[in-house]
Amino acid sequence: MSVAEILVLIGLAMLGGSFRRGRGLILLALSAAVVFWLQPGNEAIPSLAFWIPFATLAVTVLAWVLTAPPEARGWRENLPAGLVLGGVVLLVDLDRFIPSLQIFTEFLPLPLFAGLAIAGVFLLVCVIGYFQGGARLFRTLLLFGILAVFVFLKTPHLAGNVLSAVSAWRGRSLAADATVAFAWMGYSYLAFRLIHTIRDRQTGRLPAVGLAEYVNYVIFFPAFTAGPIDRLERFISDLRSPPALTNDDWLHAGKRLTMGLFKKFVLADLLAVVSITDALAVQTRTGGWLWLFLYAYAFRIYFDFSGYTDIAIGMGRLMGIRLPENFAAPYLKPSLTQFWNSWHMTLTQWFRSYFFNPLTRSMRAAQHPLPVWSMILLSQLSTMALIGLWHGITWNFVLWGGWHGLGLFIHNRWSDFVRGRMPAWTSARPGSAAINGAGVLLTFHFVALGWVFFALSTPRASWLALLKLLGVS
Amino acid sequence: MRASVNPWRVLIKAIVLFAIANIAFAVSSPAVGRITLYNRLLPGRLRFPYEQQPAFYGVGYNAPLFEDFDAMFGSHVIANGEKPADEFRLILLGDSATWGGHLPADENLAEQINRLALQTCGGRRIRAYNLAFPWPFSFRDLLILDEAMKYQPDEVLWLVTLSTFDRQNIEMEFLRPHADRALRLMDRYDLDLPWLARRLDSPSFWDRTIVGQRARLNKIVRAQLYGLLWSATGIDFHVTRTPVNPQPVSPDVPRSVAYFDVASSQELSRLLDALTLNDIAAAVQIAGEVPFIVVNEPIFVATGKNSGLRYNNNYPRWAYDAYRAAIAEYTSARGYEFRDFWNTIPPNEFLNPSLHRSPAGERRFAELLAPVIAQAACPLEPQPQSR
Repeated sequence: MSVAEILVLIGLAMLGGSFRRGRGLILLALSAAVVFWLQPGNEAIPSLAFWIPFATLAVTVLAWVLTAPPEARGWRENLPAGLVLGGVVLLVDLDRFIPSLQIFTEFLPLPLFAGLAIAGVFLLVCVIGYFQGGARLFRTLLLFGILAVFVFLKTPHLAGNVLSAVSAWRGRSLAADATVAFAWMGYSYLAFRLIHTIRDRQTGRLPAVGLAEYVNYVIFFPAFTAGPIDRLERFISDLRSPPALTNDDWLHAGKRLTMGLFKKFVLADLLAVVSITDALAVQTRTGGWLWLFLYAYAFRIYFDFSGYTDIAIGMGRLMGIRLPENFAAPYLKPSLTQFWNSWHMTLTQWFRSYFFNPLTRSMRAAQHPLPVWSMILLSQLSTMALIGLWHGITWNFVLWGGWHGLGLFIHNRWSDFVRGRMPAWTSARPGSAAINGAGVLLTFHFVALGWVFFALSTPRASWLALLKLLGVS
Repeated sequence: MRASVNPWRVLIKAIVLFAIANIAFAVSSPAVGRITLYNRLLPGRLRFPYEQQPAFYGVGYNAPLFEDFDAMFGSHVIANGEKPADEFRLILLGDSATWGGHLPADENLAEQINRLALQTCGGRRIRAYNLAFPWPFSFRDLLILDEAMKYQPDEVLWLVTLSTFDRQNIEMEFLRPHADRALRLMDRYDLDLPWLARRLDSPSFWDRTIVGQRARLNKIVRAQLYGLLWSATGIDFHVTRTPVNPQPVSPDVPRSVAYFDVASSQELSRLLDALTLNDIAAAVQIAGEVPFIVVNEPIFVATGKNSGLRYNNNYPRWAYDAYRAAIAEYTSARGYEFRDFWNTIPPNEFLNPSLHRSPAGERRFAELLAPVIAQAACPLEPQPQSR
């Protein structure tokens, strides 16, 4: 996102926070419109710039029908939200008649098609609502559908190749050097939130929420593209509270927004200039320089991501929503375990809740449980590999996940080993400070070396870079 | 209990402070370009930073700093401290052929001259500095020369070609930030260039604020970071990231005899009238006591189809021959030093496109220039001395 886009979003957040009555519906309308506004164009099939955001809204509405208990699905309570969503879709589509005011994509469908699509979703909602007996099956299908789309989007070139093929089939030729990308804005976080609600519904922990609250939670625009990943029950408690903003709220929001913009558009963007890349890893003549570029990458990715989080938290605060923190000085943590408790915290909490804990529980409950150490190794490796794959389905992301999984396992075993064996001086003031400092340095460098897999594109490029960094080549 | 802070007051204070900072910046015009890592923490560049498009900045580890001469010269190795007592400082002015388009930084003409390890008769080592800038444009070179005189050159070589003096090659993007400097230069050396002067406007107050200068400031900061990449890789131009294109230049040239919008030799006077040869006189004046030599640089001379009509893609024979005659006559009439090397480099030592020389071509040209350089360095002894 550009500074201008973020400033527009901040303006929308101030607008959204200024309403006391009907806040839920106003936030819903703003978020839905932003979903359309942020969706990038698509060269192969231009109309996807409309249909992808539409699919975001449609799948969210369907997920609500499948997760909401009958008492939360009353027509009267949810009709306004449905009308708002349908109205936003139609209003976006009407932009086609005002070419000079092109806020959304120029490839908007005829209102008839948009209307038919809305009717189609409405019909589907009615059918699913009618066949409640099949809700369990539908939820499972939706869960797998969400994961399948995720794999499709995250596998390099897969979506692009499919798009090219479809484009060719439709007789539309692309420029020879055109890079066809299939960008579904915000899909990762959409998937996380939907899976969270579906799984919590399956386990009976999901609170009953109406359509407006549910869709607001899933597509809340400050956190739509880059998190943090809130929990539904926490989000709606804020949404249901009156948004009387105090001076402290304004100051806090202003501080976070300023800090976020500075981190993202000054620090991260400047560090990006000198961050390690495939080309630099080869061209750099000495390992010393490469370390510098690796450090730059480590801080760049931190400032970039935490900057976006600050902006999201600041915008949320302007609307009376206190989004969860995502970073807590991760590079100052003395162990890898603490690092992962303070880096992209809402993501790790999500994986802990929906993968790590269930996996560990099932391994412990097995008739013939594995030795403890192997359970820890398996759960750490598989969780971190999945976190890696979430960034993209490539070998390098698997290696990055494996690197951290192994690191967490070693740290776990080491902590167990040294417990009660550390000499007394290590708990006294200077000794503990020294050990803490050494831990911070070691953890940071372990994480930094891991970024090699993250920043470079292939295992071979990463291996050569690691050799250069270690002074071997 | 903590006193409540009014956010609107904070906002108003921030706006006021921002406005004050902008006004102060516009009024004082601080020499931000002098703050540089080059020649302090990082080695100076062997040629001025240059990239054609912002998209290439990150690929060539380079961002042009022409808006700010302090920053542009500050990034160059010529600004590395005081001039050593044992150095005979030779500066080269010119366009992309001298800058070294398509060549790595250490293969350009100045570095080839330095490899010859020339010495003056008094034993001073002759050190050449590449102060060329891509695209031919004589008045731009005057501005660079004017600034370069601060660095105490002992000799100046101005490598020129027909395009250098073509009035149509006005690089307003380069000139606009130096409008005041350019107008002063015209005034000081009686350069009657109304066609140029009327296009130069001093920057407005708004243009001089931080907001108005943000693009320049951004480039200055980025250029420092690119300095790290240049230091680490030795790469300073996106074209030179890959080995020099070995494809030979086609010996054939187009059939047309036009020189841009001058259709043929029938319009010879229009061509000659448009040449800015008076810039040579201004350059000699700027150089003052420093020996100043105008060098007509080698061009690719085609040998294939239509080579009877044109020397290369840029120059029809009639236009180039007329230019050569004109510049020889102009310099001779005024007693200026002029050397013509137009056909001294064989075609196979040019790169594709035919404007730039290969490393071998640069080496040959450096060897040809050595006696010329030595003549100024040792007026009584025409031969160069090698260590």
